[in-house]
Amino acid sequence: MTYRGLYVDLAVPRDDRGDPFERRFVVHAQQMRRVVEVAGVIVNGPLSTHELFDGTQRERLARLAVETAPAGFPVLSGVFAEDVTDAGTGVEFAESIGASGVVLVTSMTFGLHSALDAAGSWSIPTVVVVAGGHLDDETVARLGTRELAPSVGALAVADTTLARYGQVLAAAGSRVDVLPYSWSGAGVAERLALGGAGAIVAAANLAPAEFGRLVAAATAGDWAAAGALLPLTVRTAAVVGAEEMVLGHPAQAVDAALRSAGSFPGSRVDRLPVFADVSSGRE
Amino acid sequence: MPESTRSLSDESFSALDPALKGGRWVEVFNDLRNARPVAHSKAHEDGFYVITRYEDVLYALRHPELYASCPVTIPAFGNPRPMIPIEIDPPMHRVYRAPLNGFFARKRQRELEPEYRAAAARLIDAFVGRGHGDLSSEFCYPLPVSTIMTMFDIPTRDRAHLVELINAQVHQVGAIDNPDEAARSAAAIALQMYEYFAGLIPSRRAGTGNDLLSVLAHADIGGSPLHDDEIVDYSLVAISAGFETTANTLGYSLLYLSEHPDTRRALADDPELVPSFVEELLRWETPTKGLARTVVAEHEIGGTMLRRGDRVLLLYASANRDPGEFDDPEHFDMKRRPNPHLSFGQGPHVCLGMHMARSELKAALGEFLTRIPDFEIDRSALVENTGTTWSLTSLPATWPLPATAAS
Repeated sequence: MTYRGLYVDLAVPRDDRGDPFERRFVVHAQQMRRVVEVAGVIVNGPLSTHELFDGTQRERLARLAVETAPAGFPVLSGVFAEDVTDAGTGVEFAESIGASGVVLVTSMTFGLHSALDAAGSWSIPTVVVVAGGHLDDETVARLGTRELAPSVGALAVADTTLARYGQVLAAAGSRVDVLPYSWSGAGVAERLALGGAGAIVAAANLAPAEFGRLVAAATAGDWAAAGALLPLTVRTAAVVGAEEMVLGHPAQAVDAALRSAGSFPGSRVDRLPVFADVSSGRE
Repeated sequence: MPESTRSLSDESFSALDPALKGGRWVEVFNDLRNARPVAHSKAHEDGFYVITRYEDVLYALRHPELYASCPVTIPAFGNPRPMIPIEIDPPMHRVYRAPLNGFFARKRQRELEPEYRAAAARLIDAFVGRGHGDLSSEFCYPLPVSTIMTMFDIPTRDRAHLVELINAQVHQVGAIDNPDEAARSAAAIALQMYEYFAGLIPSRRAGTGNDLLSVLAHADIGGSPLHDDEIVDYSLVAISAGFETTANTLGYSLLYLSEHPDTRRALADDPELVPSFVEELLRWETPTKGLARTVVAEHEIGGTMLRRGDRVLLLYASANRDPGEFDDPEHFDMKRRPNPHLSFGQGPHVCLGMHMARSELKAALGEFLTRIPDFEIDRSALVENTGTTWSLTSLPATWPLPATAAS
């Protein structure tokens, strides 16, 4: 499996009690999958539903996302692991529901190399997500020399400097796909200018077609087209960033942004859709 | 060939093109279908395919796993959330349709026919004695508007403004010349409508009414109530689809009858033929010329490979004239049977309101022909508009005065 193009870390609409609004989640997931510029979706991804929903809720979301997806459309199941047992449990669940792959999110206690070691014991295609805070010089250096299990198809790099992203690219980019992961979309184009197969963008829930075109243009080196779409990411970053500062959680920020755009229930109808007056870049 | 009757090339094809008015669409659509079952146009969005043959349109309608129903128009309306249930795909589509099934059931609508007929009579009372009038503004539009507004229990003071919003949304005037601006305008209108319906919901939740808005406010889907925004999403499509289509089918029916006195007389002699006439008029005119789909997975249809993300216009009006399905399709046969026209769609998204439309049209035409059996529409003065549903917004007509008025 390759990871070219845009992957959308699915936002989850919530009902008035804060629980997943499942039927609207199905509708939202369908909306995202319908966009040709979206290469795949991630359920329970780094957008951190594990901090908002319990295990049962997350499992239901994963099942819904997989069961309602068209045959062959990539739906990756997010796994947050504190240790190798967590990872194994999450992977087994992903396999049991027929997910296309796993997005394995590392942590302080289950770091990059622990995850890469564990991935040798399963075959389901795996994207390992690592945050900048867990990437020190030694970790990156070891990445350049270690073997990577066949199941590991990609590394997604979040919350890190451009330089560190470049180091990961240099260490592993010739062996696996490397993807920047971004909440707001900011910095995606710059990282893809260094290299990368695609990107995972949480804010793409607001504008999947536009972010898909941005990623496609950047990975193709079409900087005129990518540049034309950059105002979009500035706008998204401003909306999601502002909401995040108020709400304190990226998932809530994206959710709030989608509500203000009218896309999720609970919309504030005094505001037009966020990107109504932004050029799509289409001629 | 005069410019006004030119055949549109594939690349410029648009079902909104004013050049198609006055019946010219028939030749253009037939030519398109004969030339290729699946054409491609660049007239809207990033380009779209046009499916023209009956068998292919029906296939697309019956296979939502290949053809997603959102956005359902080309160009898209611009609503930020999918309209419920028309732009929701299975499996959620069936879930969302369920609360409306009883309201629009055939049996219930037939029971309402006397009310529809009484409403038609009241409207006719207002103008019949004059001997002339605009049938569009005085009859065709007010009748289904009244029905829908009553169905939702919309306050009388709000009705005119709501109708203006809906007309602006559906007609998309100028969309072919400036589609981006039209899309922005449509999005702004959609949000005004959202705001209006959202404002009505609290009182409906608190009340015990049996109007459709109250039914939705108290509905339960899988143990949970509908969210306010879901109710608004339902309302938007029910309002738009519920009156524009009926109003214009009624208008086109009257236009046809105006120009075909034999048919008029046959219906006057045998009112039981009215439902069959309505079905044939729907096939003949197909006021909603087509609706859109988005391809979900790569496949071949009509010899053309379609890919995920491709936009497709299912050209119902062409399918309804396909000789591959209909015997002598260019002949208007009000006794045509079977008549499997696609004017209400087919498959999971078959028109929820079709029984209501049929009952309203039967009642309206029955009453009209009883009260005004002979009439003439001034074709030179009528106003026809293209749009998602084509419309006749001006139908000036004259008729002999009733005996008591004339004396």
